[in-house]
Amino acid sequence: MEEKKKEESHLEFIAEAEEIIELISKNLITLEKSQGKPPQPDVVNAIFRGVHTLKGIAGMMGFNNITEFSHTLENLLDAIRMGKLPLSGAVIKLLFESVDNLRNLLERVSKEGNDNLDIAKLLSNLENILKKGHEDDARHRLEELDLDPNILKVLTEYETHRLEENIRLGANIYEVTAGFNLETFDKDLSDINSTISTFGEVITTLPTSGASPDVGIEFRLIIGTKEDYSYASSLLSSNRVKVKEMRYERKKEKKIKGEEREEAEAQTEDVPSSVKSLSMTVRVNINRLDKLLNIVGELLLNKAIISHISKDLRNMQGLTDTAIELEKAARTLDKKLNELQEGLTEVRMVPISSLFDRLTRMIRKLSRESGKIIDIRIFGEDTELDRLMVEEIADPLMHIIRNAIDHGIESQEERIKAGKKEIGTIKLSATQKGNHVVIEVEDDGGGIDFKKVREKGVEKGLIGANTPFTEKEAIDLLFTPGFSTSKTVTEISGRGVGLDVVRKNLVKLNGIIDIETEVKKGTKFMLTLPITLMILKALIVQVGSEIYALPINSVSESMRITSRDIQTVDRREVIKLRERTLPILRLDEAFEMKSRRGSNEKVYVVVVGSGSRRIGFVVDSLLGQQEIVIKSIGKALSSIRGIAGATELGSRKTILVLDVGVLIEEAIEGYKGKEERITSLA
Amino acid sequence: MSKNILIIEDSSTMRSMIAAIIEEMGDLVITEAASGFEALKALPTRNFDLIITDINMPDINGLEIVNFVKNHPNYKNIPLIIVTTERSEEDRKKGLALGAADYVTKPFKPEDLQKVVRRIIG
Repeated sequence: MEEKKKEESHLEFIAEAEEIIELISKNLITLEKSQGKPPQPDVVNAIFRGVHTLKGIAGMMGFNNITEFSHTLENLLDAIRMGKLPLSGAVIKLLFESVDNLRNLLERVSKEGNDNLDIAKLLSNLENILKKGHEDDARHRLEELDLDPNILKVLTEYETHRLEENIRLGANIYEVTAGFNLETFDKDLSDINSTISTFGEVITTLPTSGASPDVGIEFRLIIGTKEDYSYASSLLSSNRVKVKEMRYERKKEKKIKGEEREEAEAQTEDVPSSVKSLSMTVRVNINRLDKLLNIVGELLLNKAIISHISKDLRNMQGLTDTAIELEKAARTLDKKLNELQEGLTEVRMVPISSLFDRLTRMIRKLSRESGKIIDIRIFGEDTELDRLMVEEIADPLMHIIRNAIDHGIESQEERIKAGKKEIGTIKLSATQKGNHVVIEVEDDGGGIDFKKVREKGVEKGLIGANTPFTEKEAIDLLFTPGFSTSKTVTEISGRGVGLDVVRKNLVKLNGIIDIETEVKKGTKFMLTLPITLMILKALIVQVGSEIYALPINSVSESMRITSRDIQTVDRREVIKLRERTLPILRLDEAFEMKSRRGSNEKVYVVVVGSGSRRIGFVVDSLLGQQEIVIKSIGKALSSIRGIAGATELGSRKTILVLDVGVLIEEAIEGYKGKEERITSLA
Repeated sequence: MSKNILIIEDSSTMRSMIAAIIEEMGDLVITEAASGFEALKALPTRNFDLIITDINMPDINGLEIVNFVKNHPNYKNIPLIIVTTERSEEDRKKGLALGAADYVTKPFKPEDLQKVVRRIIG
């Protein structure tokens, strides 16, 4: 090679080696944190690959000390990733020392052009620990298995080991076949990969020419997961993606181990309900659970009716045996229905760890892209949250983390200048507080500079130049649409979405977001969320200038009438519906609003309830159906009868959700003050 | 006519070193791919006369590249050289069994690689 080229590759070597060392050190931090648990294979392999590449390029450049040192280090890491050497605290400590040593060697190269440092002592430490490793007894097990030999042919030694390891741990092995267009396959495939990473491990990715080799490409992915076929298939299958189970004969002894583990798990769970025990073995689509919950909602309405009939019966006949029996039955039904509702809600709970894992991966990726080294600390990953909630808060959390990495954590130079630790920290934590879960994202970056926030707010015309400005107002300003303090649009967080969207999403989930920040110290975002997300389909109606939501499971039909169709029978307003009379309740009157309707005006009647407890609500218009999340209303409003709660419509408008059961009572009893309230539908 | 060569290697230093070594051999057009994905995208863009691929890469490994090329109707005649290490003798054997024409073992001297390339594409 010519001199110039030599110099170029010298610089390139230093740059890449630096990159590799940083990557290794970040992954080591991750490993250190998961000590005690089996090391994550992708993390160990990333470290191994880094050292492996370093050894290769150092060898080509003729840096013998780096080559020799990384060679020994590579042996050690190979033993760890192949499961021959346990990852003890001592090993991790030695790995950290080794990374420091690599840094020193590289510094020498960049300053002196050679790597002549004494590495003998550390080398012998590495070798000593290596001797403690053992031969892997799992070798060649694959050959006893009924697996496609064409796949075994293309697996590297490491991938072979991962396959063996998955089988040893009793995982299910699936083959995912996906056909893509040549133009877009990399994006499509990485989408699939990120889905798989939420529940399993991609062992290998095998490209094949497929049926139309000129325009398309096909991939066979071998994945290992604890999840069953229907789960994997429901997440991955589409017209382009097929999932197939790869059968293998599990060794008997391993199977017994698996069963023992399940039993042990069963013993630690002391929840007696059978619904809970199902959740350990059955995967159910969340939509099916929602359907069941809706049915429970309907049953609750019917139960309310039965309770009422029982009361009527007692009033008419006194305490006859039938009345007592009926009341007993109604009470038991009430209790059991509540249990059923609780049980179903519980089934939807999942630990937040899967989300934290995803976020950790994202932080790693972003920190790589931004060149900032970030230490990730995770607390409370076992905290449970409604599955739907976990999905819904993923995007807001990602946005907050992007902000923290992009605007919060300073560059290494700035951090050193400010006298801070060179490595930035992001802390993710989840804690349960009563019926809520608090998720915190804390960084030790530069904090939010309120002076800048103010300047920006004035510049954007969001506040006046002389308006007094408290910290709280500054924080509110951050959540105002159209506000962003970032001067440049970066790849990481410049996506045109601001904190206003984050807050909007949270409000939709009935959550609250708070910020604590201190200049130069860092920022903490606190998200408080209800543990479950009760989603209900509702009919949105307008009455006068007000909008209300009616749980759809209590609505049987709706029709258009004119005010003239309304008759009065026994001082009660009714309409004729299929030759029967249906009492009606004018919602504007029930809520003491002024009516502005003339007698010819068209109105809508929404029929709710069933049997003799059926009435029509008179409303001005029907605005459509929508999924809503019911939130409880404050104490001040809780005394208003007929209101079950409140909900947020898309445009951040809060509307009230009607308590159909109570309103039916009110209407039928003719607004007599009733002492007992029937259980609300919500 | 100049020959087209595809280099698949995830380490940028190693990739440009291999490119530099091969460029010295004269009339060659070199395409560099930093991953198996990039290689799959590059393959239809030219008529390659030779592929040089690393084995140990994330996502799609070098053995899978060899297998893909050797079983693809449009590419099966392109010879491949695999770049292995002394550690992974097993992988090297697999690569050759899948149809790779030859291999070099890291670290190699420029002449070693040039010799192998010359032998294959003349």
